[in-house]
Amino acid sequence: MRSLLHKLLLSSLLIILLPMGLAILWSSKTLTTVLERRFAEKSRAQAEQVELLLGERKETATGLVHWIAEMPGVRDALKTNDRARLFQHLLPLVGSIQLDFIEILDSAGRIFLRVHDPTRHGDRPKLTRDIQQLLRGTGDFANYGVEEREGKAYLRAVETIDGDRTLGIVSAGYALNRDLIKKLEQVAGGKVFVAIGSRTYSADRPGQQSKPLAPISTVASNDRESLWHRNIPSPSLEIRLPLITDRGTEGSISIFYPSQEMTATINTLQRTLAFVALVGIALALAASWFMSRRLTRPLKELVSRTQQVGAGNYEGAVSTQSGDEIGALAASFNCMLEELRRSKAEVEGYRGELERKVAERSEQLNETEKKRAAMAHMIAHDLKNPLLGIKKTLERVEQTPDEFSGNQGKKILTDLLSAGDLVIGMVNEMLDLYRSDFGDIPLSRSAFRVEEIIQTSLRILGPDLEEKAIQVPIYSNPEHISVVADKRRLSRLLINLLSNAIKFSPERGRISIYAAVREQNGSGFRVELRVEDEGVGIPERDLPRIFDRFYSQDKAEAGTGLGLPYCKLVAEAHGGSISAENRKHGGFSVSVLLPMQAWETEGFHAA
Amino acid sequence: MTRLLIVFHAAALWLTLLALPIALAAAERKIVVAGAQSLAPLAEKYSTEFRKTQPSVEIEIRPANSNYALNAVRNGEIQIGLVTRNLVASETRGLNIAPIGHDAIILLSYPWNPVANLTLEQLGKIYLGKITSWKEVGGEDQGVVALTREPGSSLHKMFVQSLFGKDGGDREKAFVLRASKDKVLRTIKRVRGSLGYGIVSLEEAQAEGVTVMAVDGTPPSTSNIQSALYPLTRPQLLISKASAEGTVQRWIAGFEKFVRRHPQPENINAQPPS
Repeated sequence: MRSLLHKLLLSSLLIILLPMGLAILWSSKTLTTVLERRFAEKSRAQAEQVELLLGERKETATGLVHWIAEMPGVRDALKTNDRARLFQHLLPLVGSIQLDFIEILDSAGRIFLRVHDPTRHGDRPKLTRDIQQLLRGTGDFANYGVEEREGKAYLRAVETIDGDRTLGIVSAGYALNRDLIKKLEQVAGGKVFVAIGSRTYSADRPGQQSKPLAPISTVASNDRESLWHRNIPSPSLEIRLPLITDRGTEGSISIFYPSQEMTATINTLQRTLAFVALVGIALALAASWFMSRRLTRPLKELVSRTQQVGAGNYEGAVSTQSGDEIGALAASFNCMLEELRRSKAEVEGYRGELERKVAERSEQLNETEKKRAAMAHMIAHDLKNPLLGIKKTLERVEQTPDEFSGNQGKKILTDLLSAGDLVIGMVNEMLDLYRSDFGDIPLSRSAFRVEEIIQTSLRILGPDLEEKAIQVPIYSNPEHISVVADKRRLSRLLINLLSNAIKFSPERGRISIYAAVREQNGSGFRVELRVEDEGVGIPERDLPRIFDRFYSQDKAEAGTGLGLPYCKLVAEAHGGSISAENRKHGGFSVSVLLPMQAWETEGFHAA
Repeated sequence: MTRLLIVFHAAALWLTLLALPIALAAAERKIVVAGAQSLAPLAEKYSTEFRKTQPSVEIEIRPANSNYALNAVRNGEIQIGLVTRNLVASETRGLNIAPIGHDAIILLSYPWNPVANLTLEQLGKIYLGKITSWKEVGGEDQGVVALTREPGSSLHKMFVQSLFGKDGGDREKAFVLRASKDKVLRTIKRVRGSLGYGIVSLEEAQAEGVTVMAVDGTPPSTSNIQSALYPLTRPQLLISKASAEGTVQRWIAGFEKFVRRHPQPENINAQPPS
């Protein structure tokens, strides 16, 4: 597994274990050293008790010999050779003072009395130099020391017994025997070896040369020493004390302290440390696992959320609240999600709008289609009327060919022609409108008079005018206005305007036609052609739309709705304009302005 | 004036009458027990117990010796005496004697002495200075250092009488060891060739390492002492005035029972024959 969790765990364990191991190693070593030092200190303190004890003994012996030497009874006894009395005198000391011997030598160096063995006397022991010197009266007062006699060692004090001359020597002290060494061991708490000269004394074999636990230096030294003996079967600490007497350092006392107890302590300590380390590792593992999980869980969540986002699911957010970098990452991820959601919503909005627009368009399209169908129907209807009129007339002519002669016949023919012109005109209008979708309509210009087209229009519309008994006054200024234009289309324009006016005019109404030349400021002359009626007019709100195709104001009267747009088309094709307004006193007025170039006025030229 | 005197005397009489029982009670409430040192610790032990049951009674133990006990009881200085020797008829007159057992004088010699038995005759010769070496009684070539106890003590008196009869005390030839029990043991231990005696238990002697001697072939075992087979036994007696009060008699009776009940190690020789 190479997951972040495992890496974190591994690294944190390394971080923990390395210093921990070092610390344990170091503390173990330090503690061992400290324990050894403490052990040595304790041992030394105990060992010093030996010195105290020996010092006490020395005091006792020295004091005692001094006291005995000063006793008058001793002098008397030596003088009178009264051994029994002296013994009786010194007997109480035996039980009350811890001494192994009290010995009194006479001036010849013979044993006068050994208090601890009163029946032996008269021997002449080999005397040490200091005693000989004392007997000769040349010794000093350094009178405490070691004496070896017959293979046994003694620690003893000596004092001369002085009368008028040196009467003898009193000597008292301790045998370096098992009792003493055991006592020392009891006080010191360790195994004691006393080395004097080439001999070593211990409690096991008192008074004999015994083999110590480790090589013991017999070189006299005044220093206390602590020596570790680690190579012998039971490792131990040796505290070596000098055996100092009045005669100097006469030997050494070695006390051995077995270190099992300390070793056991150290072992326990090391076991405890190991246990602590194990517990520490377990705790560290748990803590680092916990922490690593805490660290990696948000990351995992982020990863899974990212995958979800990748799959297109933008819902929800990452729930990490921590304040660290991962928290920041999560927060920015949440921001990103939010942004994604927002832009998705925006896109959805656009799509909705588009759909709505498409629906609107198709609605419009449908309406247009309906209008187209209606228009087709209307065109058919419009065309039908004149065509029916033509047909009826022709039938009448067929049935009564007699009537089709003379003035009557001529009138009928004229009616037929105008009806045909009307139909053709209407068809042409439609073609022009169709063409205008693809570009300008081709104008076939010719010069003609305006009144010509007015008359043509009135002639064509004559039946309708008659039907409604409408008067059509014509106002032209100047009287004759000549133009160069598409005569046919211009007359269609006029017909359209007039037919509209007729449509909205009441019975016996009046439709006025104005033709005029006007000077427009800065842009030359224009020809105005205006048609006014006395009808109801157009609602103001419809005014801007009346030139749009298929606009039809009066539904009931069902027109193609192509009339005014055609007028606009023709006017604009000639570079002019068209405008409409409601008259102040009722009625409707449409005026067409055409640029001068298109117009020629006879009157104008004539003038 | 006369009336005042009468009142005064009446008051004085009353006070005397009131004080009398208190004084009597006080006299009864203190018991002094004195005498032989070997018995004193045991008496002290019993007294601790006795005080618990009779808290009003004050008991004083005074270690001295048998002779002091005899005289003091007789003149009323003490109420109970501790005596560890045989009494002659003249001494027992007017006294109440309660025997509580025996103890014995144990003969002791220096450690590792090969001689473990002495006859009374040999013992007498040693203490007369006629035998001076242990070699003469089967031991090593070592001079005998005879140690005796301070003259005048009941122990010394009894020892001398046992060896030489009533008037043999003057002929004794030995070094006098004035010391307590512990010191006696220590001195005997440290002086080579020594021979001494004391009232000690076998355990004490053995603990110190001194040699315990049999006398006439009889070792000082508990049963030998109890049955007085061992020659150097002596009785242990409690003495009091024949006219002693109830408290004193109660103490004596209680002590007799106590000794039977508690065969203390240090008093192992003091078991009375059952």
